[in-house]
Amino acid sequence: MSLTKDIKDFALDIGYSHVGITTAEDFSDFIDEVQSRGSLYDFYVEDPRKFITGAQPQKCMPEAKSIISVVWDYAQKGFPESLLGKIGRIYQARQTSKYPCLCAGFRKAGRVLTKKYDNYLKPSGLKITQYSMLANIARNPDITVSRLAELLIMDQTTVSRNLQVLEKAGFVNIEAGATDNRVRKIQISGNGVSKMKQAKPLWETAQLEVEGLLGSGGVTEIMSAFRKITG
Amino acid sequence: MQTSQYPCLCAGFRKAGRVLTKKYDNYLKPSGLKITQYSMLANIARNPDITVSRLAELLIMDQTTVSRNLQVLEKAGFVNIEAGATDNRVRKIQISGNGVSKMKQAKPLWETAQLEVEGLLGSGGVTEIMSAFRKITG
Repeated sequence: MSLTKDIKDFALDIGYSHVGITTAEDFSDFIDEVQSRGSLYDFYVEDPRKFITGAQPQKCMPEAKSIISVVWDYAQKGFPESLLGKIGRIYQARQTSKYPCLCAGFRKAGRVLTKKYDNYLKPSGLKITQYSMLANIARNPDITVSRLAELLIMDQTTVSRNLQVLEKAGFVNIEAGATDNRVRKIQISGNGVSKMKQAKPLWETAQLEVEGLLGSGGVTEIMSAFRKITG
Repeated sequence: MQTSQYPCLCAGFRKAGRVLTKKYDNYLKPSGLKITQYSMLANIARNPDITVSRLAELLIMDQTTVSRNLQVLEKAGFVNIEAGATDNRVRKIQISGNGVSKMKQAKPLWETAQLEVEGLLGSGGVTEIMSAFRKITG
């Protein structure tokens, strides 16, 4: 028996209704078909799972030579009439999470910590968001607005607005003349450095309190989660 | 004086929150809801007749922000806010029929985002994160 036949028999055996093996070329008929459906299929083309890239095997698996394609028939054990025309939802709903919303969890924890750090920083007059921005500017001399936005994972408009407040307070110098955020350079001023010197021990107190709350194992786990999420 | 050897935890949580907000918003797009609206609706659905004050406590948000976000949901017809009462401590909120249908549409989209993030963190990671949330938000 050939490997090809083994693979096909196995796929049919575990319940797929069709199986085929082809070269790792683009599935161009499929891509054309999806694109011919126009804006009706934007949701599919723009889906974060990037189905179109999936139809271009060498884009996601450059070394692939062959592709095994299998078909799973949702309706093989009968199809509830109420779900006709909503087949995608079956796919999406087949698994459920047993946890509360992780996004809400991170946002809530962020709000609680913001209050705590802001509270400790009060004597310095800085908010934690401003402290964080200043710290990033101090660590990266001549950083551009675009790059700062990338580091903080914020949009450039928000960064520019927050920078203006820091500039007015005399803590940063923003390169005059340039209006293009990709080249506009920011520097911490002498006043900014003094302010950070005053604020650093206050930040440290908040940070150490939270580290104590999480325990050292907890902090390591959280740092690893941050890396997995923010990449 | 002790010094921390870690980057700012507050900044870390906020950044992760922004990344996840984008991800969940993206998945929820077909429903027209943002994750903040979804989250608020889910809390209202779980707690019939909840007051504005109590909802603000649950979401750890100030009452002004909660009221403003509620107005948007009310305008869209997803919630009913008790008329007459102006005191947030007694003003009751209920999810409407339209709100229930909207949640039914949005739930599988939320589920997709949530499962993707759970996969990213690994099951041990999710347990650790949940425990960290409890320690921080009390």
